[in-house]
Amino acid sequence: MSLRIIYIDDEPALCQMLTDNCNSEHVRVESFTDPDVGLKAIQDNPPDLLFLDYRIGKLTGDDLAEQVDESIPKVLITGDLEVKPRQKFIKIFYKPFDFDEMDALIRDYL
Amino acid sequence: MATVSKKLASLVHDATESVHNLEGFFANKSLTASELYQAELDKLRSCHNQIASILASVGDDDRVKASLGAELVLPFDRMRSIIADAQEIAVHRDKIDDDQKHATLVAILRALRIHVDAFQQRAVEQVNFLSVVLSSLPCLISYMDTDLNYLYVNEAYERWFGLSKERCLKSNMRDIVGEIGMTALQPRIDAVLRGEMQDFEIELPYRLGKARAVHAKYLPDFDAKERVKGIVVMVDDVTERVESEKRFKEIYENSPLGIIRIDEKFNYLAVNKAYEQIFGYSEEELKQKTMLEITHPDDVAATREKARLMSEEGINLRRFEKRYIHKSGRVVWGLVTSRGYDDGHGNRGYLSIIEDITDIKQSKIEADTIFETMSEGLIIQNSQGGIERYNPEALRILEIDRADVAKLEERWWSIKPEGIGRTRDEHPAMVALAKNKPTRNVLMSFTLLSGEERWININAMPFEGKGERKVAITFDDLTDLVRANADVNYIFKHSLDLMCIATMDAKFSRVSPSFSKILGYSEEELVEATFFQFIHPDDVAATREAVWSLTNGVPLIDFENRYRSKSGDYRLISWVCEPDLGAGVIYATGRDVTVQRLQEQRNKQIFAAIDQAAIVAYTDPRGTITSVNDNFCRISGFTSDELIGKDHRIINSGRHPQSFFEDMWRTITSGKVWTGDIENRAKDGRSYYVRTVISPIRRLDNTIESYIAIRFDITGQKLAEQRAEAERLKAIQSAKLASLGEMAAGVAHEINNPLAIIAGTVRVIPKFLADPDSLQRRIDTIEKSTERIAKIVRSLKKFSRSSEKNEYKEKKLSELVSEALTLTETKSKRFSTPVCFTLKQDVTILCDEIEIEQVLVNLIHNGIDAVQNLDERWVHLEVLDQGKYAVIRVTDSGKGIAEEIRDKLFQPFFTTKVAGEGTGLGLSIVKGILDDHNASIDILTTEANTCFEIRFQKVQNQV
Repeated sequence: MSLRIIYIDDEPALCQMLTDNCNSEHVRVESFTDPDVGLKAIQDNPPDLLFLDYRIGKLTGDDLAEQVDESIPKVLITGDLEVKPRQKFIKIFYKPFDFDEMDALIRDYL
Repeated sequence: MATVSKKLASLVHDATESVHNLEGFFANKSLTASELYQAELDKLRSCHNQIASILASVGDDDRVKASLGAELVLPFDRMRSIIADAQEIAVHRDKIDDDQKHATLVAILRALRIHVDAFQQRAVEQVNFLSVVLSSLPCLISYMDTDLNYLYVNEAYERWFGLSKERCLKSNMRDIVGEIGMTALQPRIDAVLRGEMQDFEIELPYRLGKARAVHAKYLPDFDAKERVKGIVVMVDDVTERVESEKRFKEIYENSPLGIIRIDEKFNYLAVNKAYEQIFGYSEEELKQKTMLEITHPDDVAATREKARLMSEEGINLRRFEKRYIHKSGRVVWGLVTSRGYDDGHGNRGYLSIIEDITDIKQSKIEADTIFETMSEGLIIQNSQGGIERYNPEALRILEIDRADVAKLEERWWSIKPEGIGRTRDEHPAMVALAKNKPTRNVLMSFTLLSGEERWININAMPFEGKGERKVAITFDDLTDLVRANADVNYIFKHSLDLMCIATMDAKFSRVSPSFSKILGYSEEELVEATFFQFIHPDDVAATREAVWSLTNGVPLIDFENRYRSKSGDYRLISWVCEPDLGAGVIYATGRDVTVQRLQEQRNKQIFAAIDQAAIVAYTDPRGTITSVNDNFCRISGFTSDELIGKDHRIINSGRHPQSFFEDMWRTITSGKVWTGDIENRAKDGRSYYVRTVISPIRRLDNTIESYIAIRFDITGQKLAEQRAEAERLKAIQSAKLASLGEMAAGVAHEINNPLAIIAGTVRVIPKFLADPDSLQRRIDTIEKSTERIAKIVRSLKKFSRSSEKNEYKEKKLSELVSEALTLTETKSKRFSTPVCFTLKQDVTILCDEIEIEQVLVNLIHNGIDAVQNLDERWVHLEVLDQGKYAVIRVTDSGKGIAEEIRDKLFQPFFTTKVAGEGTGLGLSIVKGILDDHNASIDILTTEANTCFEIRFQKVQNQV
């Protein structure tokens, strides 16, 4: 059984980096730089975990989270220092990431 | 006539006797007694001669001649031929035919006798006639017997004695001539009675007044026996002649004319007293000399020539002038009339009358000299106005060349009296001639060929010249005077100074128009007024004293008094006065020094105030201190003795570069005022700051005499400024920090993203060691992300720069805007507000780039903030080139700024943002920076959107 993660971030390098780090035999990361495409993928096939960047073009992670099934656990990823944790998100990661913490989170959902 | 007749009868009788005797000689033929014959012949001839003589003497009267002629001429001719024949007979008596001759002779003698008898007869008849003739003769004629009883008087005689002929013929000469007359005449009467003819002159008492001179001839009348039987008296009244002779004598002796007679060798024969006096020699002295000796050497030859003309050519010389030498050696001019004479005895010489004309001549020479040299022009005109004589000065004044004298009349008649044209008859000279009165001081003008106007003053004096009235005109060239007078009038009229002529009794007699202008009184109010009435009461005493010294001939300089003007205020007048005691006037010029005096007082006060308030120093043109005030000493800590003679290097702080003082010197030596703030060092080493104004003090020729430096102590201000500057820098710094803080979030995001990429990528590197392509991609990603971080950090670096002011550099506005866009990119992203930039024309300005970038960043940030709540969010920048200005506009999508806050916008700590979102320093800092850049910032209300416009001065010489 593998864990499916969708990551939406408008920055391809970040998408690549996260995928590089998290992909394993048990974890599969699908990343989208276009939020609309990402949202479609989520609706078609809801992931186990949803990673949302805070600033995605004109939208924010909050905006996207509103449009996604509440049941999907969501993680907010941000470079901003001022973004506070909120209820919708099970966890907030501040860039640069603490990968140990991320690994731990993923392990919790495996 | 009776006498003549008797005489003739007697002569005829004698002649007859002689003829008888000659007849006797012939009859006797005794021609041997030739001596007797000859004597008889002589007697006959004598008779003939005497008869001829008598006939000749009465022959003047035609009537006598007519009555006697026919009867006597023939007998006398006969008598002459008888005498001639008798003579011939006497000479040639041997040869003649005696009978024939004798007969002829006798016949002739008979005829003669007949004729003589006839004549005698006739003569007696004529006596009465002759009496009439005698009576009518002008001379007194009488005949008296030896007892002096009158037998005959003529009418002249009657008239002279005032007695009738009848009365005379009854009288004796003694009764008529009178006692005195007889006493004088007695010797003459005695002589004539003795038979001696008397011819004499005598003065006789005359019945009508004064004694008269008479010329008398007493002729004795003889009877046949040669006894005196009567006296023929012939008397001429010669009183006139005698008197004229007396007069002549008198003239000769008393004449002022020298009269001389000299011989042919010029020796003096006679001289009169006048002549002695004229030449200073006595008659005796003169007789030792010749006339030539007292003749002027130059005139000797001419004198000889004249003498020759007189003696050889018989010419009489009238009135010639010659020079003599007086005994004293001086020259004597003589006017000489001379003629030659010949006394008939071979004595020839000259008679001369000499008039001493030395004085006249001298006067003439003097007059000629005056005429030639007098400083006035002189012209003499005849009665027709023709110019007869002129002097050199006349030509000079009329500007007639000597060679061009023909133009004199034309020029002369072109002279006009002032202002008016006149006919020739109105010319002063012609008026003088016509009225026979002098015309005086007529001012006239004429125009010279050069066009110059010349003024002359004419005096014309008529006088009686030779045969006609003439006029002498003198004239002076008054051109200079007229012009000077015009000049004086002009100056008087236009002078700004008060000019006046006052009398010694303190009254104005003439005032210039400036008086009225300055004091407000009319000329009428001033003239003839005592000027004390205008003078300030406090100045009257001093003015009286001044007038008193003027009346004593002492000029007055810079005397001041106050005059009340018509409007009531007082004007301070400074006077220069010059008395003219001769004319009895005071010439004065006054200057209204009221304003000047007030100004001087004000200046003094200002100077005192400056002296009080400022640090004042004077230097010579080389900068050596010549004078300092107390403030200078106080602030610098030096004494004036320590400062004077030094230059300002003594207080130089060394804080200003050499160029600072070079600029100062360049400015002031070029004559301009230099201002600037200087840090100086006091004697104790303490710094003090002075705001300095250095002004050159120029001489009138614009050269610099000295410099005055006026300084104000601004040490306190300077220190305050320094503090303020520090505060400002601090504020800027805070503002920088504030905007840095504002950016921090965005910056963090921008850094954290790449940092996350790097960190995450590094972590996966080992996974790709076997896959070089993938590895390379990951490394590239890391590099790219590092670069991103580096770029952000670089832009932040600018904010870390120190508070030191940066030097202004020329920057293109486009570059400044681009840099600002980089710095605001994150915020723009974060707030989803695009910031765009339109470059129309690029412009270069001189600026501190960091500060201007900051300004732009501030404005962009403000714009982003301002539009956050709007649907349409954008910020737009544009750069414009507007002539002298470089313009940047920062426009946002907002709808402008409310009017009430527009003014507050640039005040510190004013903000529209929610508390905690801004510092409120932004726009005030922006304003401060732009002020430093001499740039302006305004809100353009003309735009629909909110628009800030910044206007920079463009860099010069930018196309």
